[in-house]
Amino acid sequence: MKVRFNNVSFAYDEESVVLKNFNLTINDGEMVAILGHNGSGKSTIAKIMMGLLEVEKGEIYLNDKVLNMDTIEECRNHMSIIFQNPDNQFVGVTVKDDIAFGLENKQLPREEILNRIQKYLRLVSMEDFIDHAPEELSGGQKQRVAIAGALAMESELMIFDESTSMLDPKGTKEVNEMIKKIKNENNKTIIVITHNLEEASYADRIVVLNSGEVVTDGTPKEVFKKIEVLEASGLKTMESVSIIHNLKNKEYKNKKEIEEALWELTFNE
Amino acid sequence: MGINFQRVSYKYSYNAPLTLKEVSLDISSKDEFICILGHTGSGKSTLVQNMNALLLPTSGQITVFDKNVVKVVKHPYKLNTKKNRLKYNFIDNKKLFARGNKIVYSSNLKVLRKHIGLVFQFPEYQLFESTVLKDVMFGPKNFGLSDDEARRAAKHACNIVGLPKDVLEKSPFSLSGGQMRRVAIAGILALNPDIIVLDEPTVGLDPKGKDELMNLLVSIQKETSKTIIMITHDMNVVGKYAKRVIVMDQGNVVFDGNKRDLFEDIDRLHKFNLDLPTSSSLAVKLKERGLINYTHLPLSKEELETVILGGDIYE
Repeated sequence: MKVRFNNVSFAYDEESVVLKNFNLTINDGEMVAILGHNGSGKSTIAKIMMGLLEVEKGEIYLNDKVLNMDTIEECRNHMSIIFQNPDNQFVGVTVKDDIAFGLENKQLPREEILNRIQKYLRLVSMEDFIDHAPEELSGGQKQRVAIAGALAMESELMIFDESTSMLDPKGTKEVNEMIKKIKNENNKTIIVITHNLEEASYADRIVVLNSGEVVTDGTPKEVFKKIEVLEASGLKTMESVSIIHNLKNKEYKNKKEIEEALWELTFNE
Repeated sequence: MGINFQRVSYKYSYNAPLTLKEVSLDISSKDEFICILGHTGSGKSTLVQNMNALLLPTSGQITVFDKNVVKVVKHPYKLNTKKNRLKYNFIDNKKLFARGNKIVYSSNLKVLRKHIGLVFQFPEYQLFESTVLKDVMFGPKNFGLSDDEARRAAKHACNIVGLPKDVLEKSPFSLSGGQMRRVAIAGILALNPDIIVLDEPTVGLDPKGKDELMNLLVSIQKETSKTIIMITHDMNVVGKYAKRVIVMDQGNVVFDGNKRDLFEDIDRLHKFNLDLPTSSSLAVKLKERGLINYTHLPLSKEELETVILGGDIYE
């Protein structure tokens, strides 16, 4: 699914303008990471897309169809969002109920619902937990259930809104592995909203947001090199890239090999 | 002495397994910077909640600033009767001995909590007042300070955490996540505790917010020599800032010591389900490829740069 933001502006009140003439095009099947510090407006984008907030100015197009309050119901059928807090999005009494919720709302036949639950729980390696209650699951497991729920809706666009920021390292790893898997196996458009550069490193493209404006846009390697831009946006480049940069003007043994190795390790950690 | 745990065990309910298993610890009242590590469910949060008596031990003895947290038995000779009410107190060692551990009258946990300030996980969710200043004043007022005294303490605390003056009269809910967290920490600092305990203070903050918060904690410690204890999952924070590391696993303290000793034994580290700091893991890989050499494993970016430039790390 192609997503296009055309001159979008949004403000919660007169004092705090969150998005200013925001332009961004995301191509079909592309994985884009939207990076920004706390309060940069990145989560507002997700809320606008789900129709939880209404834009003041500008338009958003999903496959050339404009998104507004009249079309939002239809548009929601094509996208799923995974939020930050795993506890806030678990609606079922068991894992099975939770995934069934969205599908029942779509009024799918019972057979189809059960099939999809099985299929997508297997995909996120949670098939053994089908009858478990949410309190029996870890944060990472709950997020994986949320991902299965989103996948089960078979929507073309998936938005991850800081979906690892409340998880421990193990949970973070689980969710990131899952995003990578979805990227590789399914032809889905993925938007990852995060302030964690490691999570952005396997995206096709990174967009950096500061005060509601796009300050840079490029491949992970291009963006990681823009150390000043990242720092001015409240972010930090990857440690390996930062080391290369700090030692740029110094002479040391194996300089070329070390630089090459550090670049390689940036993407293959 | 700050905090002493003697074979402390804890379980959440009668039938539950032990969350802490005979933990013994000694934490000094000054100059410590301790990181508590361990994966989810290892007992870290239970441990720190025992430190300021939010949870009370199932067995064992906790001593805080030379006072014992004791179970008070009103009828010490009828332990098993239903009428017997158990209460907890925080009392002087001497008094405890003088009374032969039998009957103590007043509950005094508030005094203990004045010694030890606990900042919870996602503390910004606990803000509730109409203005930042009022929110920070809430704690001191609760501890019996007058309005004026509380206001002074609150303003001082807001100053320490770097909140600009114009923020003080704003609603805390109009602030960014990082700033809200500062307000919550100021609320604890306003009580002027001797030891500050923080449960995952950097989680959810962006890189700049994280650096600012860690630098703030370091400067508080430098200026006041207060002991700081923090739970964290972030190995980069441990590698850069910790002076002492405690690792919890299944309710046991499995490591208590120097961070370098922890990170240099990689097999044991993996056994604890912990990772290396990013720089250390880069260093290991560069060494494997024969590109750098070191005797001490670099634990931070600065240390790795020193090693790449041909230097070595000295203790």
